[in-house]
Amino acid sequence: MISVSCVDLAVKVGDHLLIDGLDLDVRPGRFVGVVGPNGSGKSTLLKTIYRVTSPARGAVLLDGRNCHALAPRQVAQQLAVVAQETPTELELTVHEVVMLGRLPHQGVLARDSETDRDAVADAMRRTSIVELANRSWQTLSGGERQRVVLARALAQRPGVLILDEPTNHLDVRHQLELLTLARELGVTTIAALHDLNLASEFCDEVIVVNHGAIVAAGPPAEVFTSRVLEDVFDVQIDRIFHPRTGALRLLFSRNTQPGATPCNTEHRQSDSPSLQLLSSQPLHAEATRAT
Amino acid sequence: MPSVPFLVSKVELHSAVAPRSTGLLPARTLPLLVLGLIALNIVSVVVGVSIGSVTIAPGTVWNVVFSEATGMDTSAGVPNNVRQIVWELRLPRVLLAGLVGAGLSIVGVAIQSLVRNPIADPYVLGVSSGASIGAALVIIFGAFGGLGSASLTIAAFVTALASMTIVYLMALQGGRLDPLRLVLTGVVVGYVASAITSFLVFRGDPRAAQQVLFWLLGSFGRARWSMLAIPAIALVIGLVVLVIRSRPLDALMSGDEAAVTLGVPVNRLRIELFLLTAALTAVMVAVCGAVGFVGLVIPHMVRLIVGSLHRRVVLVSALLGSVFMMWVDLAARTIAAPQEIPVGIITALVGGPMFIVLMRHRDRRRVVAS
Repeated sequence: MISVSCVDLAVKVGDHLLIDGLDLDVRPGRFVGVVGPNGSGKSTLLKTIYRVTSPARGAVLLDGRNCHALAPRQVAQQLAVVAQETPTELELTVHEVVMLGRLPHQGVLARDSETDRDAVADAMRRTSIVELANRSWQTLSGGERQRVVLARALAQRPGVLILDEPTNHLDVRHQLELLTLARELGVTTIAALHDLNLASEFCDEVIVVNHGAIVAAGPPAEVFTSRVLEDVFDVQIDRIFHPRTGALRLLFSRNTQPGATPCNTEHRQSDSPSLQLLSSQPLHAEATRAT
Repeated sequence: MPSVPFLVSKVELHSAVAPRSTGLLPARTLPLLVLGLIALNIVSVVVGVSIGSVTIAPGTVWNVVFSEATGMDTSAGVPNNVRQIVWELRLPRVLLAGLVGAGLSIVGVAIQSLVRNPIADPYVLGVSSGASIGAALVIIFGAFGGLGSASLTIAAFVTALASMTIVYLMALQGGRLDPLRLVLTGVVVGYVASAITSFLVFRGDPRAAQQVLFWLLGSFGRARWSMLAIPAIALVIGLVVLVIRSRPLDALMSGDEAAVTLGVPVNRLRIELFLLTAALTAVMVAVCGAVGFVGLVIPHMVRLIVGSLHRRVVLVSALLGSVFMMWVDLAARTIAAPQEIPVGIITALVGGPMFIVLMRHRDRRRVVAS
């Protein structure tokens, strides 16, 4: 397992500084969620970690080695990505797409080895796409494509997994299945997630990104306070606990009058045993950093 | 075809053991296809050499070729003029057609991946239009006369390389080759070069103009043994590079970003591919003019048959392109004999319908499969 760190990272696109002086330290095997509003720099951060974007300053370290100084192939042997965008036109079968995950491990003329075939079969089983093996990519639904791309990433047998909005096209069941699967892999994972409740359920730690900087970091229950999230997302947030599992759940309502009490208070009936409401925790005075 | 749905469902039952491609042909029959195409290449050479203004028996062709190639005297009794037709005229011509067919086909494969555009062909980078300037200068004004009979080839090659360099320098931005920028630059440079050629033709006399047009549409009529070495070497280099790069090319199909995450140095690969395809196209165009359609259609046909994995597509395209071009050349010199029809006319007339039929067949199968 591999650690991922960002040291004083700054990323420029054109003249815009999308990330400025970001520090992050993800310990081996941790599952870290990156949350933040649209345009906050989440995707840019991930793209810089997986080398599609280059930093203007600072570095991304994989186990202490600067990933932008390594050969692309070396990085791909350790780090796999499930990106947001998938191609629409691709005349390959599912099996062929997943086999591409073996590319970083194959020699120049190497044919698919036994190890390659095993890794691919295993990845396809885990993502339940075995029966899709001979289907053409173009005939797949958005959710099926997402699972195929995850299978390709698993076939890479990575030490680090980067997920950029992996649950985008998935229905509820597949969202839960995908994140459960990613967790069970036990590899270091950094996932950008829009769904804060999924983030709070699956992540060991979350970082909240806004305007290209980390504004809060730590275990979800500590970071996802109303004050932090209301500030960053500009919505009203209420925290409740799941009646059956006791997990933290966030409820959102539109921020009509900043600072005013929520107009819809029905769910605040605290005599209801299933809905226990927490008062907002005080805002951490300083942005904490993930350890 | 009632057998198709049955076949598909049966294969899908065993999907875990027998992976298919997106092509019409099951992957495990690929070795057979390759062997069949190699045999077909040999047959095509023999047939191509036997048929012409004088028909020569295939056995005689074989004996002459064998004796000339090995130095053994197996062709005793064959008249000298027949020997000459076989060895000096027809064989180099047939072989050149095969080389160029194979070369343009693999360039087509590479270029469609390079610019990620299915309608790209070897001429989309403006190389052929550049070559036509050199050809027009030689044909119309007798330029570079000092180079003798090779002047046309050399002039075409030089102007092709010049236009390729211009496209490269103009498309390059911050050390990166962007596919869209590359296509647009190639098309624009191509138009400018064509305009220059048209101007030269306009200034020249009508007979020369017809010669230029004939050259542009392609012909293997000038083939000599001495012209074969360079296209052959170019073809071998192209095949080796593309086979070595076949997996990165597969990854590139799923997008630049995906390719990067799979460890492909995308920009370096693009530059490498550009230089390779442009140089190969320049060589092919210089020896026989701008034979169209092959580089566009053969790669697509092959993908329909064997799926899109580049190692298969490159090898099968080379073999099929070569067979295709030998038969096209045979048609070009026999259909309206003694007059010769430019090769480019036949490639389009024959290749177009073949392609449509295959595409319809594939689409039918896809509906069944999904």
